Amino acid sequence: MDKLTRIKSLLDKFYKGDTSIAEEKELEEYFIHQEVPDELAAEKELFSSFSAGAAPVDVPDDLENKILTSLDKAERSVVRSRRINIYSISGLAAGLLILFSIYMGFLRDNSFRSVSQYAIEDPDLAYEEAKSALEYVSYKLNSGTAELTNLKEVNKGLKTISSIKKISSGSREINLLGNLKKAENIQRQ
Amino acid sequence: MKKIILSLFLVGCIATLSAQSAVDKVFNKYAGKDGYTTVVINSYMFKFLANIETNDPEYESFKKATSGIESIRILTQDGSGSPGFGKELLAELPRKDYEELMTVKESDEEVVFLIKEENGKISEFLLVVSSENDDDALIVIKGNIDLESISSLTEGLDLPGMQGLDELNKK
Repeated sequence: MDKLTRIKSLLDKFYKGDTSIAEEKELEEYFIHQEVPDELAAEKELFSSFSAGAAPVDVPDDLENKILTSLDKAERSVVRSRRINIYSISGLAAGLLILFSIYMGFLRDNSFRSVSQYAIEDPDLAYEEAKSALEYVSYKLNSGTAELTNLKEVNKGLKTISSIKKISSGSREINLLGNLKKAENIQRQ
Repeated sequence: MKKIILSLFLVGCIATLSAQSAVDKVFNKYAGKDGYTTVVINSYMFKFLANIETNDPEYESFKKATSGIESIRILTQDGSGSPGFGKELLAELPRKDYEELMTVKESDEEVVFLIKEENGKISEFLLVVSSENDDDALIVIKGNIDLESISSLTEGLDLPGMQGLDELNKK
């Protein structure tokens, strides 16, 4: 029991990396030669593998390089995919924000609010203003169309001209009659 | 590439938005500046005025004339604004978006009537006065506009210049 608590405290030290070589040896001895309670089964495996590893294993020369490059690859791909996500999402968000602010800013602030702030809220004043504006418009409209009444005068003139035309057409018939008389005279001769 | 597309898209959006309603732009430009007076009457006010019952025939004709009107906006200068205000207005307004109803040119004044038509009805009416006597004005009427009832507003009214009109009619 006493031994077990000592081992446990040694294990704590071991995991913290504070053990001396002698103490590690002690742990190794313990786990190889003693029966171990279930709670320390994992440690038993660990330390027995340490002692078994005393026989060195052939390590391929480029193992370190292989590991490093594969690590590099894994890290890079993770970083890149994350970056793409962050970029596209933040870009989208920024774009939407800009569009929204343009919409709000341009449409509302400038054209809508700033002009409608001059909106009249007093009905009497609104009536006066609307009436005078419409009367002004009406007056301008009528003064424009009034010029058209001059056309009436032209029309009157045209009518008199057309009656002159009738006279001239009448005189033409008289001319014809004159010709007839001339013809009769010739016949008599 | 993405950035270019995005920026182009944004520029396009800004362009279309800023191209919208040049009349609003004109109002924004001059509204609140010294020397200019802006008056805005909105549809709510017209609805309110239309609900008032009187026996006044003048008010009735006013109600008739404003029955379809959504808003009236007036921009005038009181003499201390820019001297060529009316000409500026005529230059800034997108005349090609409107149909010219009538232009009256006199020695010291040019009056231009512009309208926008939708389904055979006048939906927007612009009166631009460019004058040499600081009488420059822009009046914008929106809604379903009945020009006939508006022009009949001044019939029988004693406005300066109206006597001349009557005399013309008698000739």
